[in-house]
Amino acid sequence: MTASACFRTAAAALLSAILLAVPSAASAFDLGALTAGGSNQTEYKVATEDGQEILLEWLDLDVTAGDLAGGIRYEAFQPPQKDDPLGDRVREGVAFRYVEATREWGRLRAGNHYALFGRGLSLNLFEDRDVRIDNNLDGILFDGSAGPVEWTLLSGRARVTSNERWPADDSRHERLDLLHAGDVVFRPVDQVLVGVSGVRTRYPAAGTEERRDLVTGRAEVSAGPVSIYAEHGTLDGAAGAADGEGTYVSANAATSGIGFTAEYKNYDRFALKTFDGRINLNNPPALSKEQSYTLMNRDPHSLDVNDERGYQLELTAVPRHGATVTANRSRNERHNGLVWYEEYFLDLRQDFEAELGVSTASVLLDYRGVGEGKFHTTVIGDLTWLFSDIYSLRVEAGHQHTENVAIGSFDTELVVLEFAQSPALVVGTSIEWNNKSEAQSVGQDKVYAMGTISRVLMGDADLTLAAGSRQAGYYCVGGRCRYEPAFKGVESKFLVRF
Amino acid sequence: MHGFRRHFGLDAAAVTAAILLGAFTSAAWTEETRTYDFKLPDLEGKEVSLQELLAHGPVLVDFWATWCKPCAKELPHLDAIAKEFAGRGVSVVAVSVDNPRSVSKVRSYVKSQNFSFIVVLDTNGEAKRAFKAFSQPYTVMLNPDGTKAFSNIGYKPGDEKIIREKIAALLASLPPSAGQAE
Repeated sequence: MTASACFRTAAAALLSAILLAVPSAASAFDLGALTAGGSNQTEYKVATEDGQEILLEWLDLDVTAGDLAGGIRYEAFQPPQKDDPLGDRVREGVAFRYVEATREWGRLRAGNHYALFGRGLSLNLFEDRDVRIDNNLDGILFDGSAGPVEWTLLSGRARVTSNERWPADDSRHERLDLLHAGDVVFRPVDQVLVGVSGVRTRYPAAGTEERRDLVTGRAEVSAGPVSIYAEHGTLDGAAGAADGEGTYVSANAATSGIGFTAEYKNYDRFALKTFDGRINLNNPPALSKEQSYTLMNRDPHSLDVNDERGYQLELTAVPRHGATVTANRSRNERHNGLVWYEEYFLDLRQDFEAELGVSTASVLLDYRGVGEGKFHTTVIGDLTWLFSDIYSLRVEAGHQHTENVAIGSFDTELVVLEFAQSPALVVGTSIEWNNKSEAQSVGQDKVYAMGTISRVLMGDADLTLAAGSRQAGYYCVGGRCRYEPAFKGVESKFLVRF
Repeated sequence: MHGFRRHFGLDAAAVTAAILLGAFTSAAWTEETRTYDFKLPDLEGKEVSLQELLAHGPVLVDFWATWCKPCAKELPHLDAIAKEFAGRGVSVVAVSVDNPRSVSKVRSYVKSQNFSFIVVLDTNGEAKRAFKAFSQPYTVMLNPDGTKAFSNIGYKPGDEKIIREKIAALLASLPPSAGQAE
């Protein structure tokens, strides 16, 4: 460990300790409206195959004093996991800090911030730790409202992950992209909304300056059981290229017992990214079913904002007490007509009365095709048996048939068993096996098994220990779902809120 | 390089352990002073203020999403709790953390299920960050002064019974003037 790294780590720990002591000081000295809170999230894993250790750490601390607030986030990724969207460099330090003042006329914030305009066609800055996305800006944000008008104005620098243009200097170019943006919403009545957004990005380049402008307009109307949303935008072409366009429309109609949603998209050269091309600044709706079951996330849809159009339809019906039917159809294609991702989905769920012993039973059918030549047909049964006031057993059994043009067809089976003691303990195991090696004629793991213990501590802390192996995908245990990359080894996850 | 990383990682693990110890100590020995607030639109676009709800009594806040299977199991129980305690000054607010990918489905899902609790949209994740609701479902019971009374992480069958008991205990501990409407 270098001296500077040691110093930074120690300084961050000292700062953290001081800020953690603030709640004590507040109660001891009765500082009135001064309050503090935060969370600490740690993931530590050791891969058995190569002995690699991975430590992921997020420590958030926030302090509020009347109209003023501030906070920091200390992060340590040593090293990040494979395929981390933020790159593979070891990094640690205070990655997020802000101060803000809120009054009746609005909020003024300096430092790191997130923002969402409309449905994200123009700007969508957010953090998702499960998939390691954090495209915050470092700068100034001012938002507020006056009567029927709401506004957000911001200016800041976006994080850049690679240094391909300036490989000699690793640190100086972390935040080069400058972004100015504004969003104004007019809401004459609660049921009607009209909004306009504008985003300008500037990339410093050798001797010149690259610039992109994106403008969108949107409208939303709700009338009784019907709601319609539409947004359209244009992105000026870079370096003389043709302008891009993006359109998103959604409509839904719902009443007691039945609901229907229809969505349409058309994104053509519409991706607004940091100059290195790795971090999206706009993230419009993808129009594919969000799944939480492991098998249904083996080939999730990844939106290409530069070349994609399609639709998604979803019907939710409650035919009788405790029963829910969800049917979903989505289709995504390129502008040359190539259908590259489509899906049919059906979920039948029945919640029984407690005296029958079974609380929930669910059957899901899923078929999807992927343009690269993969076709999956999946069936999952999910049964939960509450056999006392607090003890329950959950069984999930899944079968997936895959037709892969490149390697042939194979089948995957997955069984999950969970024993839960409400509200604090879950012991689970998942076993997955496939015959992919026969299809590929290569030797590889055919069986993946993972054991997990999850325990709630002190009411608001949560510890999970796991050992074994698993494929990549979403993994749900104890009523929580998180994205998990492929892994073989031992891992622990700890989250405490304070 | 591997040795450097290994050494660096273990040092950081030790620091992290110290931070965790501090966090535990802080959480265990200090009185809960933090208050929570948000203003979010409901399904009809009308702004819902948490502070205004707290003026009428305790508020049960639940973070959920349309794609979250445990949430789908939990929400009917929250609906029953909302109906059971509605006359005793308790509000139930379900905060949808669906992002732009799935927020369009919230309205049709909620209305088809005919839930009686308040549903608000936290599309940009601001309330989720303030409550540190990093996984769903996450349920927080707030005292009338906005401080946290208790929380429930995830959903396991039987949690609803414990939540009911804790709400009843909280109501019994509050003075009659705490906004409870019989």
